[in-house]
Amino acid sequence: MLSPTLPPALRARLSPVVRAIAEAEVAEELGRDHLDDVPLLPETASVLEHRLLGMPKHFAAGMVALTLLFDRSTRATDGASFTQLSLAKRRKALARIRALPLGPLKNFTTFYDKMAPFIFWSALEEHHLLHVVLGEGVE
Amino acid sequence: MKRIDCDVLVIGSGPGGAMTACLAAEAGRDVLVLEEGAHHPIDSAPSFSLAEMDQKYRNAGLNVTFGGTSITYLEGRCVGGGSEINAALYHRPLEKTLREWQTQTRIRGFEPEQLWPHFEAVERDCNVNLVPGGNGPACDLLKRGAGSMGWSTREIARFWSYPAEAPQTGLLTGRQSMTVTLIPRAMRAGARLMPNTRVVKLLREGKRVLGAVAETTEGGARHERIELRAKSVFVCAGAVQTPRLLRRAGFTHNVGDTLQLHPMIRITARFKEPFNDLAWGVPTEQVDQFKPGLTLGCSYSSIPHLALWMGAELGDKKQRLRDWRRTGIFYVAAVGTGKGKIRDLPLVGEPFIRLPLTQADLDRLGEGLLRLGQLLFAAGAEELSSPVEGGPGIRSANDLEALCKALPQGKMPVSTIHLFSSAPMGEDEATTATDSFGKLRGVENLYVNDASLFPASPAVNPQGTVLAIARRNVGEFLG
Ligand SMILES: Cc1cc2nc3c(=O)[nH]c(=O)nc-3n(C[C@H](O)[C@H](O)[C@H](O)COP(=O)(O)OP(=O)(O)OC[C@H]3O[C@@H](n4cnc5c(N)ncnc54)[C@H](O)[C@@H]3O)c2cc1C
Repeated sequence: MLSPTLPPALRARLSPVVRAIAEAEVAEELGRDHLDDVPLLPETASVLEHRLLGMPKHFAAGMVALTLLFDRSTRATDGASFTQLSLAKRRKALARIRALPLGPLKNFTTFYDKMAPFIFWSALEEHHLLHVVLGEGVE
Repeated sequence: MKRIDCDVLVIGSGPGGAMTACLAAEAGRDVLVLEEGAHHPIDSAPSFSLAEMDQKYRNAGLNVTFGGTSITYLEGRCVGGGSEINAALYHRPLEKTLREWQTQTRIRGFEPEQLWPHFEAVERDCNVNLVPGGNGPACDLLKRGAGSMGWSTREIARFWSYPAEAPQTGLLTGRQSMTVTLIPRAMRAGARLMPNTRVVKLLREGKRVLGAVAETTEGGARHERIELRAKSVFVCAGAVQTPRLLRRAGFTHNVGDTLQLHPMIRITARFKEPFNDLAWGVPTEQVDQFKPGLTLGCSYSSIPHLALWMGAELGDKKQRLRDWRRTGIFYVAAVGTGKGKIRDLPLVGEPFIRLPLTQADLDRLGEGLLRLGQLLFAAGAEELSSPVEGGPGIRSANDLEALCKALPQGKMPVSTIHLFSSAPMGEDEATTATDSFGKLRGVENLYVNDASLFPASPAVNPQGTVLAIARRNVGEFLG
């Protein structure tokens, strides 16, 4: 597999935003505003970032730009960057974008809405940890 | 630049390339196979897992076409191509389809009676089998639903091997992909295989190709450029990548202008009783009542995949996933009518595909969804997820009817795993890129031998047809 490349400085800016989005997506998936007892969040975020950078180059470039822009966009609405917001506020910020009509920002959330939960559940399955989140009896 | 010589250069090691390499090597030719992806053993990652997507899919499965509706398409990128990651379902196309192809592009030597022996050989050499002793509870559910509607279903054979003494133990592990069948055979006959080697351009001199230039990768990074020289070159890089290579070398006549695919929509359905048992692998029953236009079936429905297709609208996703044993993913696949153009994006070197999802496609998918919904409710479904992003759950076939009459463009996740027809074959020069046996027009020694050659949709899962046609064409080449 070709390892996706991005200048280190840009990557350092991107990673925390992807992590914050991944957490908000998982919180949405589980329908709650805290994730203290939820395993594999760093793994989910890191695979998600890898996926993002592994997309065809033109999509990846667009997604990186939109992700960084999105981080700043909440300054106007919530007074702080997305990464600085509580989980509850992050979920709301994503919901606002989801409610937009078609357009690049909509595609942006579609990627995260689909991929973050898929990666999260896949990671749990792979590590045999589904029962931790879904309860005993789910293997 | 390092230089390597051979008789027959095969670009791509998917079903088309593997068949070409195997028969050419067994006929005593000096064969070199170049494959962009890595060479992984068949059991290097569980099927349909994240690890498998990373190892064996192009861009981990994230490619889309452009048009009114973006269609996500999946391609294998590893030794063995799509055969390493697919559901391995095997069909012969209908005789009617083959005859339509024959007349549509005037293919010589394409009588069904001439083709069936190739299909028989594929079935034998690549171990095509039915599941011994029944194909599992998800298939039973599909049969029950179809039965109450008075519709026919059929168990689809697979490229799969089930140990005679304990067939059930092979349900997850018996895949007969190219790395298990034709590639080892090719190598035993002396073919050389270079994985992690991507052809970047064909070397052309007038009416001949001299070979190709390729880049090897090591540890994920570009390593070196090599020059390959060959007497004959077979491009078998799949329906998207083959036309890109040809066009870059200036071969553009009917190349990359007519890509076709099977658009597919998936929904989830929850039932009262458990039926989803992953130990059975991919459910192999299909509703064939509406073929050739439409195929209905059930997909592998693990928790991550259910989460992907379920959508948030049904509410309390956690509870729904806890119910995974009584929930499944069901699909409608249609014969698409749109034709796509494949071009290289300047500077980035990625493909750009413009392909419309036509009104006829939407109508056909709508009809298929309605039928699928009727079947699922007849089989006892409590609720279906909506095929439309953000749409509410569906609790009766009546709810579905209005939606299916006018499926909205651009608002549904549509995907495809079947792509073809981007360099069609036949004698009709106005519509084809190659002659009746895959030889590119206007060049002496350049051949296409993969899914690109189909004049139109095979209306069934395509790998069997790719293999049979590749076998026929390489036979003609070898004389
Ligand atoms: C997820 C999935 C499920 C599917 N399920 C089924 C099924 O159940 N039944 C069925 O019949 N079909 C199925 N298919 C479709 C089937 O796999 C394809 O029709 C078949 O693999 C096409 O064969 P091909 O030889 O044309 O191309 P491919 O299999 O795509 O092989 C082309 C190969 O060429 C390599 N390549 C591309 N460009 C270059 C380059 N520049 N240099 C070197 N190498 C290159 C690629 O990496 C690839 O390995 C499925 C496909 C997918 C993706």
